[in-house]
Amino acid sequence: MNSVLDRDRLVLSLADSDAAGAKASPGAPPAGPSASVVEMLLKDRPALDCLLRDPAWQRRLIPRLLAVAVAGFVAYGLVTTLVLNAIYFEHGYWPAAVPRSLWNRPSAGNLTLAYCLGLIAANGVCLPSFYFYGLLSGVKTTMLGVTAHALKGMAAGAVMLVGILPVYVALALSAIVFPMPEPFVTLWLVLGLSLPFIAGFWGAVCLYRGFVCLEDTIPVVRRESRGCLLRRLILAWSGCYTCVTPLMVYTLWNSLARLLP
Amino acid sequence: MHFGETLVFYLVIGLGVAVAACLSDVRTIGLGRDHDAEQHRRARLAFVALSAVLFWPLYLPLLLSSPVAPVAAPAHVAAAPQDEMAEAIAQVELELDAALSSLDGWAEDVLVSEKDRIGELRLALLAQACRIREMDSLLARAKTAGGVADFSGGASPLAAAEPRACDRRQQSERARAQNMARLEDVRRRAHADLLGTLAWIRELVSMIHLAKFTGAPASRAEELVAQIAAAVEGISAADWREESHVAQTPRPLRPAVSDVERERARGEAAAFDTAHHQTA
Repeated sequence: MNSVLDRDRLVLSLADSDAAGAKASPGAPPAGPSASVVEMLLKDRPALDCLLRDPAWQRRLIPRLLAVAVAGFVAYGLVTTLVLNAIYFEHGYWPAAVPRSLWNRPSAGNLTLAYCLGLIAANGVCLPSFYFYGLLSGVKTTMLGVTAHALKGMAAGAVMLVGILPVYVALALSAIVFPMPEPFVTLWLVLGLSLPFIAGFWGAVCLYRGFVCLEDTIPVVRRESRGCLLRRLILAWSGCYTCVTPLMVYTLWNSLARLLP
Repeated sequence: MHFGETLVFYLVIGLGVAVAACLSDVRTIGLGRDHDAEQHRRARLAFVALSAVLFWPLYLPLLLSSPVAPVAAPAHVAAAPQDEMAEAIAQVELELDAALSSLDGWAEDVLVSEKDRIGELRLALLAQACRIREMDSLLARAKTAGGVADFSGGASPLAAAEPRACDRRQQSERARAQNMARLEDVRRRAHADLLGTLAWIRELVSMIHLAKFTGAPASRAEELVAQIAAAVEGISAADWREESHVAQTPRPLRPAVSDVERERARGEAAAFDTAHHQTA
């Protein structure tokens, strides 16, 4: 390119192709998601993390991630209610200390509601501490960004939950069809009720990976020490969430059982 | 407080948040342009309303954060024609982008802190070019109008025709010619400032490349990028100086970035290179 600047005897002359190539550098912010949120959660999480850095996309993605999480938890709730009821009507067994959720009573939706509301409400309860932990570690983030990351972790967990649900149903069918001793049936039921927490590990991993990427917003001189603190704080928050969630689910389920017996 | 009462309070707050979330969503996403878009928008709104009632704590950060408006260039900048200056600015932008993308893995955090100022610099360069174009067109119009053949103080044809009867006219013509000559001078200086700033940015870009490949610390890149970002202040200062210059005495031609700053940066680079070679 013969620009007017060349007349000023400038020393530097970069090839246009090099500079044009730099325009499409991988560091550039993406224009938008080319795939659905679920597809990105499964196949291209780095791209989703990249989108979640942009406040405009955070606003757009929060309802979508919430929709994915709700859909996954509703599917789980319905299937687990079905399994529990099938075992109850087949063997007359309902686990002790677990509130009833019978399909021929008003309590039919209690399990689904308790898990849906509990898992998401626990996330809401833990959000301020997550934001605080982020600030404490020196990451440049906002409450909106933290919410988006937490919902991404939850949506990833919900997708994983839907993925392992068919495997659980296949195992639970054996308890329905074949006569089994009570401890085995209890084991299958406890396994079923703790499935969201097992799948939640994957959500925690996704959350961890996504949030650790924000380490690059910490100034270089403090990155090493603060990065270590950040990783520990994310793990601490995941632990806190894991403790709060069962309590929240159980309290809600009990309260719903009193309201809708 | 019993569970039922808590639930009522929770849902009442949820209703309030749902209304606010829907209004915010409509403002952010906008209205659908065709039937499909409208249907999609309605489905989204319905989901937002329902989920905000139940999960309103997750929507609070969304409502409390300031809405992000797309960064739009000013209208006069957006419609810039393709001329010599636009080409020069585009060339410098390409080189600057190449240099900034080369910071990845070395001093990429500099970009986070200076991103906004570099964006401002780009807009300021385009605005300066646009300003020069406006002056060009004004001067060209004045010349083609035929009233003033030469702004450097020569007599106009009107004044030559009737020298005595048109004293007042002559004075006005002369003043006009002087003003236009000043405007031409301002234009020349603005053009030189712009080219000086662009050359300065290219020089700094080359110094970034040099620093990277001579194993300079990341702090050196921070300094250089900060100097590039500071060029926006040079352009702003030049604008102000030109405006005040019209009513004041003329000053010698000077680029937007001072020679002192340039010499200092060159001195730092030379000092660094010497120290680097000595340590190597």
